[in-house]
Amino acid sequence: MRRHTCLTIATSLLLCAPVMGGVNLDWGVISTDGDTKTVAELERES
Amino acid sequence: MGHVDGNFNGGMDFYDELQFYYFVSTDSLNQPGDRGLWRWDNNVNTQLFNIPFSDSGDGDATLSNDLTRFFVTVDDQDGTSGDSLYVFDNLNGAVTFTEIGETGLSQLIGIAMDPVSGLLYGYDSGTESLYTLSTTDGTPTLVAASGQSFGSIGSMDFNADGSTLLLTIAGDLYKVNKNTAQVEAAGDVGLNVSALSYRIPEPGTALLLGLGVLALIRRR
Repeated sequence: MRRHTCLTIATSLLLCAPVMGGVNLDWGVISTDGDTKTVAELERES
Repeated sequence: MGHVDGNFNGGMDFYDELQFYYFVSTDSLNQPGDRGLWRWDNNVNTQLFNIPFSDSGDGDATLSNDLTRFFVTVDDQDGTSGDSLYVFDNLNGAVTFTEIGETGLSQLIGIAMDPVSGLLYGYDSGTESLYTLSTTDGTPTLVAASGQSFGSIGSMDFNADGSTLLLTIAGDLYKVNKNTAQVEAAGDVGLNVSALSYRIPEPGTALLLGLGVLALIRRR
């Protein structure tokens, strides 16, 4: 029962993550001068 | 995440969370030998193929849905003006680079393959329109005009389930309706961006997600 509860919580967090970040958390970019960033990194830096 | 080898590159596509292919099309700001196909593997850059021409315009790149082919749009400086559709094949062996065909479009700044239908979409800022592109001969089929006036630096990709087609114009993000070509502003990444790609979650994440779903089903 305890294992099921942990898995359920983990699943809920994973399912909620993209919603919390909108379209932005799962994308990567390269700038014109060659820096690679995830959009999530850029949001944290701003 | 790190750096790629080359400035002003012509597109990228992730095939894992920390691995992607990218295309360098120009000598501008780069060493001549840098042109071609590269692999980025957790901040280690490896050149896989060197192309014979230099294009300083901005094209884009995308992997096929089975991750075996890497399509790029580029002006190959031949007698026919405009962008051609090329493909890199045999990505894990002796890589080949083949012209699929001329598109007749001048600024294909974004291409992306729909993960559900398998259609290859292209956004051309010369005509400010969305097209589908034949992966057999490069022929474009108009979807619709966007009604926008975008710049000449961009990139485009679908998310994993094909529900979002995201276009960046020099760092400004837009969601594109693949049926109508109408766009909706979706933020600004704060960088002048020449490549964008959806990141494929690592297998461990997908496995955990699957286990969680199984646990939910078993509780019922």
